[in-house]
Amino acid sequence: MPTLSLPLRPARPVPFGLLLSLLFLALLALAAIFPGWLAPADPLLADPLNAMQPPSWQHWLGTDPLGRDLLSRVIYGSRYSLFISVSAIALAVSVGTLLGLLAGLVRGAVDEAIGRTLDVISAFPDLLLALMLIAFTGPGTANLIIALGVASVPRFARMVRAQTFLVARSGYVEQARTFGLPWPVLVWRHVLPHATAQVPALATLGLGTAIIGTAGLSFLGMGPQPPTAEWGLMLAEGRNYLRNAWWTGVWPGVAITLTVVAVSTVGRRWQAKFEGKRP
Amino acid sequence: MTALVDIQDLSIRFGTQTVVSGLNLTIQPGESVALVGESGSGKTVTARTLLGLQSADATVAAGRFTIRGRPALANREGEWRQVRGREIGYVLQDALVSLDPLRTVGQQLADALLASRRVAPHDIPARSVQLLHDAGMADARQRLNVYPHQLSGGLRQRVLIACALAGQPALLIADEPTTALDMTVQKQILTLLRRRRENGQALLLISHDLAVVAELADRVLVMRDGKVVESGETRQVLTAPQHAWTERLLRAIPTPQTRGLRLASTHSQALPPRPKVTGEPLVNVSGVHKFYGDRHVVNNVSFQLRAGETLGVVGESGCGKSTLARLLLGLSEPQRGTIDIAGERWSQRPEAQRRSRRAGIQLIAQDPLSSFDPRYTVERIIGESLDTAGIAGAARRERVLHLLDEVSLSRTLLQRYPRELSGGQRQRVAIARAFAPNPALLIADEPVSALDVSVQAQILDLLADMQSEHRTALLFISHNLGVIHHLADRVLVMKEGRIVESGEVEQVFSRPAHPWTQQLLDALPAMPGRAA
Repeated sequence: MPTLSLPLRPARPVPFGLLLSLLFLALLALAAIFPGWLAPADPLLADPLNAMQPPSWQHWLGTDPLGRDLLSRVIYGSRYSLFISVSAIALAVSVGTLLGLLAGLVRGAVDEAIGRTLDVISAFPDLLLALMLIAFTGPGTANLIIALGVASVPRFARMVRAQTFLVARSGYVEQARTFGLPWPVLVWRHVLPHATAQVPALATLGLGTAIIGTAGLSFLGMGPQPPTAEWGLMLAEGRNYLRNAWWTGVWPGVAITLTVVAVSTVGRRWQAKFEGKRP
Repeated sequence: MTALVDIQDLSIRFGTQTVVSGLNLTIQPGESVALVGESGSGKTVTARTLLGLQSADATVAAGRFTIRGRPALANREGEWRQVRGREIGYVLQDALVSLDPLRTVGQQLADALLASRRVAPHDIPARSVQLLHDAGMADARQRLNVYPHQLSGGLRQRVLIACALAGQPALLIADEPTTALDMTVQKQILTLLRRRRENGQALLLISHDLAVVAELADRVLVMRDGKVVESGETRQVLTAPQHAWTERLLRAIPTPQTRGLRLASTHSQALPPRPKVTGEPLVNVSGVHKFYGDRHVVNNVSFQLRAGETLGVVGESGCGKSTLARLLLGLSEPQRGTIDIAGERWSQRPEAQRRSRRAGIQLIAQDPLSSFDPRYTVERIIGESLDTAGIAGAARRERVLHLLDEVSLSRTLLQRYPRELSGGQRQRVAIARAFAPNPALLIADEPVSALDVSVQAQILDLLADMQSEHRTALLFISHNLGVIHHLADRVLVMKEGRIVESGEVEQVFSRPAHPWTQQLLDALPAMPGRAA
């Protein structure tokens, strides 16, 4: 092999879209953790005299039919939307990783059983499955998290299983066995880190879907109940006034859209890094 | 008669780095020339330049650069296409990956034939069969519909050669045509190339191994760091090398005569004396069988191995050598027969009882890179095998540093990742790791077959040094009889899962009893001036 001297690749500037997405997500995280710092008013404080006000200097995004400040409600709403979708993905990641690892390591009947169960789960569209689960468990934040989480388990489990399968047969795992390391140590040190290398990227992409799922199910009344400020719920409350007070429904919709776009931009970028190409 | 290739004062640069300089190469019709040198010495770049296949960022300059008398340095792409395949055929280095996995052998030959524009389309099937037949493939007609993955390495190499010859080129370039092939397959490929030479067709052979080119080339050019350090008639260069580097390359070839001598040295230098082989056998394998489905991979294998002894295992790929290694490592279980290590039963034991004894049996794998966790640094890689010994903290670091010194690796490599190391350095790390827990038994599975001859020489010397120091029993698996003859005390010859012959190396190799052993010995390249 000839030794080639490659010209040093100049450091590429971070793309503008990615930068914007990261900035937006940082702002969103701030809003979710410290909503009181950003929100001008109490999101639940009704003020019937100022109901259905259009956007103005006093109420930047206007007010809803009960006179609550929409900007404050959107800011406080980020907390619910993010908390529910992040928790759902966290649930899916932990259960999925565990199942995938188990299936990839034990193989045989266990792999078969896990694989077929996942097939059944993924046979239903995510949202339909979540709806069905909530139909059994009843609406509420916790149930919404579980329903959305379960629906996302298969994609994580499948990826981790495939990776585990590859890594477990690799030379370095075999070599580590010859050192006399016990299986749990071996799995923790050499299998898990490689098998889950792509999980963060996949989880970020999944987060986008989960946010839409959260909003969709809340819209249908399956999530947090009124008067909670939650984007999907706000959308549902605002839809009847769209004709004469467009701002009641549009702002939560804009918040959902921007969040999903930002999350997907970051996730795609991350995944492209693993695939070794630039988007 | 115009020379096929006439190149004077060739230099090739990538940016500011000069990879080839001052190279003169002429190939007359019917002549067979070899370029020899280690990896990175500029052999392959030079060969690719002959076809205009150098990468876009290479700067090529030459005093003279003619192909069949026509200046070719300023060739356009279209002109190069006239050269490729029709004037010069090129057999790429890696037979296993150089064929398109999605196209049949027939389709790929047809591509080459069509591109050559020397054959009418309706003659292509007949011509393809002829080409495969000439390349020494039996039942060539059936092979046309076969995909590359259905062929063995040797057969794929033949297909590649057939493709390269499709355009009836006057010159064939073969880049490491036998690396990664078994000895007997190597012999067949060399025979194929030799027949071409006897028919008066020109050949440019590229290899890191002087032994391979010895019987095939009229002239040899020995390269080092992009320069030709020595050139001349093959016999002359091999028997009376003028340059110290050629001398070193020759010395690096393991042969029966090099037993007990260092391979990587400038003058004859003895290895440390072989450890005395005494006492009870450390390993006792008796009547072991292993099946994978219907395949009888290991068939009634029995042998013993004592502390300090080196047992060579020879055979072609697929003969069960590596399965035998896995059985000894306790990574798979024999269906019949037993393995005892240090007087205690090793096979058919629950993992819990085996675990504490595992540190005593270590492995050096063929491909060290895949045996390292890519996230681990050299320090962690070597240190990990000390886990079960309970050596940690400062003591572990001390031991790792000591091992690095022992395998002559710089301490600055401690925080490097395996992919940043060269092939030889990786194998040194693997050796350091294997010796770290002071194993009683070391299993080396083709540890040098992926290495250049000169690096192989260093690794074999190192193994010999380490073994005599640690008095380890060594099971050395290889398809290369030269290596086994150089290093082993006793040898097992395997074929299709069975041991067909075993005994002292000298005895087995000088008076082989089994025809298979004889066949393997015949496959050893003959070096002029030395008895094979």
